Amino acid sequence: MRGPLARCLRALALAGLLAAPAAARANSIFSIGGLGEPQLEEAARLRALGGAGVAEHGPRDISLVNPASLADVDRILLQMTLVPAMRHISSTGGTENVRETTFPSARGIIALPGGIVLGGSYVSGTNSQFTVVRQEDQGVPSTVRVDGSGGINFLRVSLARRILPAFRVGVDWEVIAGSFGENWRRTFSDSGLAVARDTIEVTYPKKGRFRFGAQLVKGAWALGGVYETSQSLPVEQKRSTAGAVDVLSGQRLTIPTGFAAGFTAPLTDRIRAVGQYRRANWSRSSLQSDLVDFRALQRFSFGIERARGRYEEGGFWRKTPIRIGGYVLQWPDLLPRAGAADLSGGSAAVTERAITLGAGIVTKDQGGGLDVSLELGTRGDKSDLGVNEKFARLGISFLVSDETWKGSFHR
Amino acid sequence: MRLRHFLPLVLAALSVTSLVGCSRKAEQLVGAGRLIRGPAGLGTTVRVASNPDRDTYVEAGTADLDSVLLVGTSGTFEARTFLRVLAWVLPDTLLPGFTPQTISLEVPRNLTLGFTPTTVRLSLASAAWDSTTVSWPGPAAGTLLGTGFDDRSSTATTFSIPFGPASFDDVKQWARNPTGIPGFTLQASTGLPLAAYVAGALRFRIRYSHTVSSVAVVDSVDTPVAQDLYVHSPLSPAPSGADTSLVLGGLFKTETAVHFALDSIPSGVSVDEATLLLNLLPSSAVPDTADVLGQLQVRAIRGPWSETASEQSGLPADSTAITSGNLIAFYSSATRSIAIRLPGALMREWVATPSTNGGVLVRLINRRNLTKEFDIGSRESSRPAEVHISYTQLPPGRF
Repeated sequence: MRGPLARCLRALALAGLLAAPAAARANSIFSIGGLGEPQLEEAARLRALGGAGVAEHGPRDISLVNPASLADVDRILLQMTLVPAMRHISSTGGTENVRETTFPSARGIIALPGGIVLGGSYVSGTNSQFTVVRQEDQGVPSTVRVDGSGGINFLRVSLARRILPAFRVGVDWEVIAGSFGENWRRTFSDSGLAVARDTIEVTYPKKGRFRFGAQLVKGAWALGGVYETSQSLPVEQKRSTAGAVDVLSGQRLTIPTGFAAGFTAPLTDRIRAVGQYRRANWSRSSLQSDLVDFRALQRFSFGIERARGRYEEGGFWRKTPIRIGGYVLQWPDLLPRAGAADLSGGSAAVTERAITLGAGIVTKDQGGGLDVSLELGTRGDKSDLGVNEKFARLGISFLVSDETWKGSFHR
Repeated sequence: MRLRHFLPLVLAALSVTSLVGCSRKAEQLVGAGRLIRGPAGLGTTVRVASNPDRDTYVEAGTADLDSVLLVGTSGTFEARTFLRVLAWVLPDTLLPGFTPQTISLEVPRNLTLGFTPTTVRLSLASAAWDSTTVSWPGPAAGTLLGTGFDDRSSTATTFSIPFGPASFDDVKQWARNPTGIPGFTLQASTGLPLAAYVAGALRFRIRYSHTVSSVAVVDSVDTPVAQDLYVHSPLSPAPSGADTSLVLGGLFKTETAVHFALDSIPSGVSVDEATLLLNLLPSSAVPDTADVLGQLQVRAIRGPWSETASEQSGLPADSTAITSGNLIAFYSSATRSIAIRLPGALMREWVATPSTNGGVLVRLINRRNLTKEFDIGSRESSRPAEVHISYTQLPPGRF
């Protein structure tokens, strides 16, 4: 096992290295305020189905939404997802095209004796990467460039087990990690003025929370559900410049409770439909600020998959799974309206809509695979927010496994 | 394991991925308006200009160990030079036919100032001095050893003050016990014009003759002056606190001290610029090619001082400069002002701890023309000094 697994790990490490220089610099113009762009953590297979993964189950059909979906894993699985994206930003003042690559999740899973499956994963919760360049004319005219980074991330440990032939349960314990950082660089047309470099760091302590999941499986039918507990975190904002530091404390960030529920249902022997509703109960009390309000995050996902045919059936398209779906995502962030300095003039919501497509290939023994997805969508509103975005995201997921574990302990 | 067949595909996909991402064009100019951070905006850059609330000019002291030695008088300025020899060099008196001829002090001229002929007296000093504490008027002149006429209009590089021939015995006595005499002094009668000489190059010369193969030969030995300095009269007129000009340079080598109140600058800001502007009065000399080597040094003053202070010792200034630069580079002929950039860190320190704000002391060094002085407008004048400070407030919080 050592040789193949080592190759797996080398491949994943290489993938990480290749992805590293492609770190996003402008994930969304709406990441400038609030908590950042909500990330869909799922792999490309489920991204192509609109993200509806809560009822997924099987030896390799795993979902990051529902820990119970790991219960049928019978080997070691390593999975990583990259999402290169292109965006077209449009405002009343012009348009701009942006490219970036994000890294929404990576996970490793191992089947243990006793039918227990253990997993560990990195999950991106929100992405607040952005870059803006803006001309400022308050006081001495200057050009301000702000590079934002960070967001909310989760480091997750999962346990899952099939309790009854039709019933699977799982639990996640995840550490809420991450931070928000901004580097401000202010340059002046007057060469006599030195460049001002300032930073903002928003930090909170790492704390854990639980997620509980369950699945009820009957034939090709399945129902899944997940419940997420909440966690309250003290927030500290530190503003620094050369020779001066100002620390603001007293705010609290509450990661709210949430849940997801969904299904998978057969339409024909090769076609199935999936659906999911996911909600996180963000509200005004989640973080008291004059610059952002919150509503519940809601994601409505739907997808249809034509499963791949058997290898002996011949024909590339017959062997290739085809997925199509869509989602509507209501961002939790309620942002100040265009032209307003804060929320006193009201807030505007960001709603994201996308259609999704996807396909994939699987190795002959069905141990590994490459899935791709394409998401085409829009978000934002010019009249309320002054800007909107159209985006195309390519999801690429790699799944590799080591079958020597298969049958050793598990069932 | 299926990865073996899968790996090339994985790597190809990843390579494409890395090309698709990593956009550096993502400057988000279009959406920059979404950078909303409250009514205070994004942190305003403010430029303030203020005039000093205290200024004066001071001299560094009345003793000068610089590269020039001065003797004589120029206006209110009067100077005397003091010399010391640590070890004498004597000729070999056992040479056949040895006869001392003359003894003289050879004084290299500095012809950058003092162009009027003068007479200089070389005397023994009446008392020893400590070069670290000596001040005007210094030890009085004792026994006169010689007098020399310095024709400043000649191009000779060295001026010589001869001793009487009988002094060779005195020199032998000095050589036996160099510390037995306090030293020497060069002085001019009151009212005689100023003369300048090159410090570190003076030497006593003993000329003698002896015979070689029955032929008389003239030879000489030199004894270098080991320590030299000059003292000058105190700064006159002394600053009154209400003068309209602050003198920078001149024979008194005065330095300009200015203090600005920075109460209007808040703490916790980025200092983008701090410039000290010294405005020359219309009657002032201006920097020119003769000042090409002139350097301005700025030192921070760390405590309170009085506008009537006339000696640098009355100002608690740092021993090291916070900034320095070429006078010509700092000077703007268009505005007739000298602009010196001050470190932002000093401004932040002054704002954070006002008690450390004693202002700055500006000094001019490496001058070719020692008589040249710049008249800077004081706070009582129509062209007072200024300090320009630009600062930017901290960026607003994210939430």
